[in-house]
Amino acid sequence: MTTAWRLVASFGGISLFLLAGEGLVQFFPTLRRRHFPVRLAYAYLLGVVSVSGSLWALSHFMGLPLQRNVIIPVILFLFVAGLVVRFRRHLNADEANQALPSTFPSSGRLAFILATVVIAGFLTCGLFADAVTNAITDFDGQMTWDTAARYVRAERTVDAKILREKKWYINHPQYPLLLPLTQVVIQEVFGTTDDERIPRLPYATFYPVFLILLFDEAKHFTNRSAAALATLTATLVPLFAFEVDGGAAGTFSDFPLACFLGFGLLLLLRKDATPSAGVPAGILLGGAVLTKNEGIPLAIIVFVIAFISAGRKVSRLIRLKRPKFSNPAIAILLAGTVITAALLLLFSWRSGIVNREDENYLAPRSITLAIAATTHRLPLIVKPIFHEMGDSKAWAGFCWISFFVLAAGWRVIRRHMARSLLAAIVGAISVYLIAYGITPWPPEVLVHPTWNRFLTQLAVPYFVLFAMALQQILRNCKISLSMIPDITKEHISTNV
Amino acid sequence: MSIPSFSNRIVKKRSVVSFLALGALAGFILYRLPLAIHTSHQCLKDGMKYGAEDFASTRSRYLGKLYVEAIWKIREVIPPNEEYFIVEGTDNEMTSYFVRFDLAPRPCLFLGRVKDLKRDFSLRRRPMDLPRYVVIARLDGAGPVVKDAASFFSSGDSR
Repeated sequence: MTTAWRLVASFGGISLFLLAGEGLVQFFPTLRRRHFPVRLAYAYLLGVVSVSGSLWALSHFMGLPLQRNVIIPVILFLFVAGLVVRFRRHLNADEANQALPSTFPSSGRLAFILATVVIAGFLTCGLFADAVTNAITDFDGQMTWDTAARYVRAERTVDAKILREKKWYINHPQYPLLLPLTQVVIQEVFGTTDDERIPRLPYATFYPVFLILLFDEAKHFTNRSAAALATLTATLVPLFAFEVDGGAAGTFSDFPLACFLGFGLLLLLRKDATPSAGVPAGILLGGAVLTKNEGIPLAIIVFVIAFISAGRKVSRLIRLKRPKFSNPAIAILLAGTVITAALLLLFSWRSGIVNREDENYLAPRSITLAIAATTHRLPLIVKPIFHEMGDSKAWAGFCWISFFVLAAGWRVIRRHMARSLLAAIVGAISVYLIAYGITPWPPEVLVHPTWNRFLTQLAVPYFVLFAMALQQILRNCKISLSMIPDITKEHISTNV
Repeated sequence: MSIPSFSNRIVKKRSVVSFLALGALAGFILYRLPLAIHTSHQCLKDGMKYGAEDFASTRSRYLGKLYVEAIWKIREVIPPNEEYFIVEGTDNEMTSYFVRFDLAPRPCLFLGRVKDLKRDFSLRRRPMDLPRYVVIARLDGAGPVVKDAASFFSSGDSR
């Protein structure tokens, strides 16, 4: 395979998901009216979930082979359906089809935003260069994810005998296949070999997607300055960009899970969410379910939080006698339906696989025993957790600085949105701690390969909360600076 | 002498903490920015240097030339859709993960471990209708080796 074709396959592979996702975006007003980079970022996330998820369902339920003559029609169907919707919208003169209006930032803020964009762009270029140049070096990718992709591709089915039959040597055969299927899609469409440099780029693409959407969503909940500062900070966290164990440079599924989970939650929490926002939110949360084992409890926690928030919105709208008070309820119902479909697909697929070489966290256990075990083991893991968060290679001190920032801006907790985000983070961490409690491994040993990756999965809600705290801090500083003339006058009059 | 108002004191206190927090964040950004740019620049340089190399060379940079040559040889011996036995050839029980990945999609059956030339297997003889080959997984030395299963079981050859 020539270098040119390898690069075509790498970048062309991303385009496949962008095409499909762009078609999907046309169905949802809440997304299609966003600015182009934001729309494209959502298109990528939706494209990955919809293409890989559809192929998974077609392979499992209908026995269709995972090959080019099935994959390409799925992508084209999504893209063309979106084109038709867009064409009909243009024909309908009554419908507005404009991007959301926005005010132009001041020159100082604009310069800061542009600097953030340039820095993020440069780091993305470096990450992409690494992805198309170097082999897969992450442990979990070689042990599980990428090996599964090769077996699935060879047999052209998600119900590969290697996964289903107990005698074959494979780790975690029940691990969800969404991201391995993205590898299969690219390799089959472009007819490539197993050159590992090709499927790395789709994983790396989650990094700029994360930054673009983080800025946009944080801006919605705070302001441009705080959003830009939070995004710049996220750009510089070493783990996200350049660490193979859990970051976008590897083929672990943690970073994609972070994007699916976090942005699915934010779509449901936005004040301007239309009923149709429930579908893309459901697709993203369904993607979280189909990405990793912990995606199931995390997606459920996120859904419950969004459900409570929607209930609050509905009751407030009824109290204020506003029309369309059922909108949040419809969004939640749609999201729940899509998530349920994803769960059904996953459990149906898993039912045919004999689990082995796996910790099996999801095996039925007594809740009281699980809580008792977790409580007993908690003292053992506190020190290892703090040690991981102090890892300069992964965080460069970000964890402690961010705690200080959150503490300084603690007043944001008065906002319902901040409480929702905090609840999502606390809920997720509870899941992780319970996992440490029930694992057959010594928990203090398990912390090292997992804790930082768990934190990565919470990057989106955490950084939006971080942006809110920054907004509070910047406001405090602004108030203080504006008071300097008054304080100075007071001081002078005191001393005269 | 007039005393500053209570609200002014609160605002000052909040501001000090806020300025300190902003200062800490600024310190993080100023510390990380040159390092991140340097790392990205290095990745771009490596991209220019290694971008056109073949895949065997790429994998060799990570796992060593001997290992990759051994893997490539095994790939020529065992066809892509034929199964094989895999034996853990070192004390590190995870070595077989890397070899299995490099030989995928060839399906494999895990036999056991070789330790100090002693075999720790559940099977004493190669049963009929089972794989023709045994791969002993190693990352060090000359890398993994492939053996004919019949002679492997009959001769007790564990090396």
